[in-house]
Amino acid sequence: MNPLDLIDFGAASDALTLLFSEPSYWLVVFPGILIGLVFGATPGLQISMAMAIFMPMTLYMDFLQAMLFLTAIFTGGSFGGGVPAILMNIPGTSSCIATAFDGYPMAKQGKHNEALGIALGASTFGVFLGYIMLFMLIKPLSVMVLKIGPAEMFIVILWGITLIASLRGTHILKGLIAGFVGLLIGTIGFNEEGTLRGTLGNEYLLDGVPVVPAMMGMFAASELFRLVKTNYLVEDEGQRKVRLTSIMKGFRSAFKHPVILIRGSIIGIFIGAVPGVGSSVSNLISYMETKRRDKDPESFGKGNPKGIVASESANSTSEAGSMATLLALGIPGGGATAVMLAAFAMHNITGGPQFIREQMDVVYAIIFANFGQVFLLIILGILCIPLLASVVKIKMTYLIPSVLALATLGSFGLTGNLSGPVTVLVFALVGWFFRRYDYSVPGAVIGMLLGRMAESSLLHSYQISGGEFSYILERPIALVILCLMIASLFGQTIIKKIIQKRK
Amino acid sequence: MGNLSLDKRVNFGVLLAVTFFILWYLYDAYKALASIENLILIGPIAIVTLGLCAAEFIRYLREDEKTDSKKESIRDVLPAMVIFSGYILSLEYLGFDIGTTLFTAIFLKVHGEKNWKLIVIYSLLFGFLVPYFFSQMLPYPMPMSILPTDY
Repeated sequence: MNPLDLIDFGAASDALTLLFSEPSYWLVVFPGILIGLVFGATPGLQISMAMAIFMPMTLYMDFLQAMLFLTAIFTGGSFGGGVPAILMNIPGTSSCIATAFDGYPMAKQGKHNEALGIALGASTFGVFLGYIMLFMLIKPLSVMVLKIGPAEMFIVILWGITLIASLRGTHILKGLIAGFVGLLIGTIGFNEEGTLRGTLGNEYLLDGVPVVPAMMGMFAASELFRLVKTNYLVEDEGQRKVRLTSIMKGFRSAFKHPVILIRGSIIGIFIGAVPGVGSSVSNLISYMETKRRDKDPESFGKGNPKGIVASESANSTSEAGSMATLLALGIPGGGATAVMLAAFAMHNITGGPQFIREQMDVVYAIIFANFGQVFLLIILGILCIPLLASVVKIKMTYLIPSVLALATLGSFGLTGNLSGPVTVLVFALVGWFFRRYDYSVPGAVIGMLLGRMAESSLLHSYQISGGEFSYILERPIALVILCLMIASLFGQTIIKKIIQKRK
Repeated sequence: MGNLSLDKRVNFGVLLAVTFFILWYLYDAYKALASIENLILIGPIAIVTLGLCAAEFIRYLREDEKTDSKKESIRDVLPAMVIFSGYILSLEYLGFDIGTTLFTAIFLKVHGEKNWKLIVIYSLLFGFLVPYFFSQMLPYPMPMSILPTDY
């Protein structure tokens, strides 16, 4: 098949005409990115929340303009979420978990400017490459996604969870215990068959433990407790300065790792296209792959810039991946694309193969507009980072209660009742004990995030297969993912042993 | 266990608590419905994790795990934990405005801020402005004592 057949050039030309025929299309992009940046960078506020709040405004826009506005919020938020992950160890979203692994240690070493610059560079590259790949692959990707069933989803989830073992090099047992306990907590509440487990009669737990407030407690609040005896986030006064030159240096240095950027982006778009899993897993897989392949894996988690590049390139490319399933199949990959699906409905449009076939010019226009958004994100990001990075100048005595209160308010915003703040408290205490005694906090959080989904996919696979294990042999994509998972986990050890034997 | 340090005892207690949670959750799920559909993930994961906990217990008893003296002790963080717990548990009664103001003020005082004026001004500004911003952004009513609300 000729690769050029994958692109409809007539529709691409129409899309360009459409985009530049109306300047008002571009007017909504600037506020959209700014809203995304603010919501992403504020602990407790979510990109999906920003999109839901501002979605009613799109009623007065036409479909393309509405999509440009919402994708601009998405793009701004995908970078914004990394800002609190770097500065406060609070991943704004689950897709920024791996950004905090090395971003936060860098900030503590006084390299917050560089870390934020790297995150911006990797994010913008990820969005750009992601949409280029979406432009090239939207047709085959939509066919591939249709072939992904519960068995494939379970294996992808399993891949994410097994990474937990390698997240903590020296305490693997405790790492696995934390991950599996997280997985069990993730299944609390009603299962798909209507059976209620582990709620202790609490009605707030019927739908399960609110995962994002739990994540805020585990990551942020527990870390803030740990810092009560420190004066500033960056102890050395000389390193607390916010320098545009350092931010720019960081931005440029992201491009010194092209292999990590491209690998992260490829992982991002393919995992991002898997509904429900998406960027939560892609940033971890990209991070672990980069750590595994690096000459000095021990430096990861201690402020290695490559860790930020790997995570941010993957999570920002996942935006394009989740847009692929939304546009081609009408299936939202996560909260943000679910809001977009609602915007589709508001404009009487249904995503899917027919939409792709009949309105390819609109699809291409959305993709092209995102290229423009990348450049706007660079400008706005560079302008906003100095303001955001000033957090390091605040005394911890003031920062700790302020961030704790922000997380509490944000968690109320997520649940709509006091179960959110109570969840933050409970998991802040659990998180502190886990962190203090070397249980993997990221492992537990990932387990919680994926527990429910893992259970449903396993149950669906069991129901479809009738309990026959041979079913997996009939699923080529599942087999490929399984082989990749085994290779990524044991490949290096096996190769090392073979080489040692030959010597 | 008599001669063990507080740190080691807490470490042991955490492992014990985790094991207890797994046992209780497995029992609760089994009691709810003893079917393959209900236990398809919980059963195997709980059993594997209990095995891992047993291995960790053995490792704990065999090895003399060195404690990291650089890490903070529970005594250091206890005041912050107590103040934060008080804040969350009083929100229903104090609301976000008064609750956040008091939480910020008490936290600042307990953690060494001596300037009373600064404590009062910062707590009032933060405690009222931020909850007000959230109340304007969120689609549901929030508990408040002074700020307007439909809660």
